[in-house]
Amino acid sequence: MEAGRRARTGGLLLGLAALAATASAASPASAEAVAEARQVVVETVQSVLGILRDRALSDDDKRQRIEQVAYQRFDFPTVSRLVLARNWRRLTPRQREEFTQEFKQHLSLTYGKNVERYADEDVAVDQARAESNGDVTVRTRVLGGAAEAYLVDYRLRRGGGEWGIIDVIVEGVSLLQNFRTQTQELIQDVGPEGLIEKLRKKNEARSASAGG
Amino acid sequence: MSRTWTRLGGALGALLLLGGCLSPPPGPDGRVDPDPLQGSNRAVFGFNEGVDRWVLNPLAEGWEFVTPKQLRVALDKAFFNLGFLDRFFSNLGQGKPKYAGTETLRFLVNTTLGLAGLFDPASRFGIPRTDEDFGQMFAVWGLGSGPYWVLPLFGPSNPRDAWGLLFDSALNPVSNPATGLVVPGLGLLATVNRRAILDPQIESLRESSVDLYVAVRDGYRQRREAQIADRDFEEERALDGPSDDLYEVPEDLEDSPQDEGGIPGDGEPASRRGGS
Repeated sequence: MEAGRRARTGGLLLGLAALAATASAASPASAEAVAEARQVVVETVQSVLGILRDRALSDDDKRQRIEQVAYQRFDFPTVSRLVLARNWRRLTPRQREEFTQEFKQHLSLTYGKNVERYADEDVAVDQARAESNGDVTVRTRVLGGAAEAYLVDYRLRRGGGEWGIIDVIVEGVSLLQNFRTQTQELIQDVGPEGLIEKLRKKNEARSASAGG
Repeated sequence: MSRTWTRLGGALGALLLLGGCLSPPPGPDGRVDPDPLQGSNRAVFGFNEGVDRWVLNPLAEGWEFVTPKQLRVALDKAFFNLGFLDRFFSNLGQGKPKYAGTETLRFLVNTTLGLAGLFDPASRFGIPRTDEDFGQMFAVWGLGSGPYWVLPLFGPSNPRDAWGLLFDSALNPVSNPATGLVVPGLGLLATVNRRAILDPQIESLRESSVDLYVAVRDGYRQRREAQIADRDFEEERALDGPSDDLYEVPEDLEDSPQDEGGIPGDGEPASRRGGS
């Protein structure tokens, strides 16, 4: 898989920085948008790595700051809608609000957990491409961990003038799709209220363990 | 280990014979059940989680305690290097002689300069690794995956990938049962070492899922599809996402929550939806 990708992009493996500069030209009309979205990913990665590497910060401070970055960079209302998809209609306005809140906390906690797992990995931001519906996907590689390097793609959407992350795709696995499958099956089994309850309990348990 | 294998072989044979019949037909609402074996799968999944909790993870933690990270990473590379034959043949079988060639080159370079594969100079020389196996090869040949199937000890799979796993394991000295006679415990060491390396990812998945079983099933399906398709970054654009409607918010989403009539794909019949 790696081999195919790299050979076809025609480059020597390590010359990927050069790729980033050329590959964003998706279509002339959106080249600027693609560059903008890519810049958002570059800034997000930089601020997260900056926090993780800051020795003056305690783990709790780091976690809090990274959760703040998540709050700022993810488009939670859109993600919540896309996760629930058609099930959105089954939720009352109050349940929608609750789900969005709990889901937001769930994702941010997950993001903040990077603090405990961080093992000096580096992140390279590579190409970006325009999707047909106006979204932009940006490819990054996580390098230098114990496991082999892996690909993380971020899909962004412009809403209210700002680019927000709506999906994270790890080695071909879309987390949005993954959450959607989980929530769909849970709603079938225990209904919307059961799903929200389950998320809430999970968040409470995790916040407690993260705090202490 | 080898007894497990014999038993697994029997079960596999039986299931493969049934494979064709097991392909699930679409239900009345036109949707295919993603997991017809869910009952037994969940039981085996629970068993595997138990094995991990009480045996594998404790071993991995002990291993982590007595070894430096660099050693674990190097060993993992060496074990991966030993899987050369598997990748060589599955590349060939998929009509990718070029990658069978790069795998050979990698094996030669890493086995010699890389000290039996403990280091990976080949990557530094720009010879990339491939990630091919017999399950992927069978998929490229047009074999359907069959239903999701959780194997005892081996985890997420399906009849096609389980069949592939037999070949993978036979071709890989680390997992080949015959190796166990010469170097006892090599396969176990590789597994424990790998478990230690993947610990952050496994922990993260456990924490970030609302239903771990479903998260693993869906993740396995997506991952295998990506590995089989081997699309590069630009090719994925045409695909526009892992599924057609994943990124589209249905138009009338803001409608009142009460109207939930027969919208296609809206989910299960009312009778199956539990009360809240």
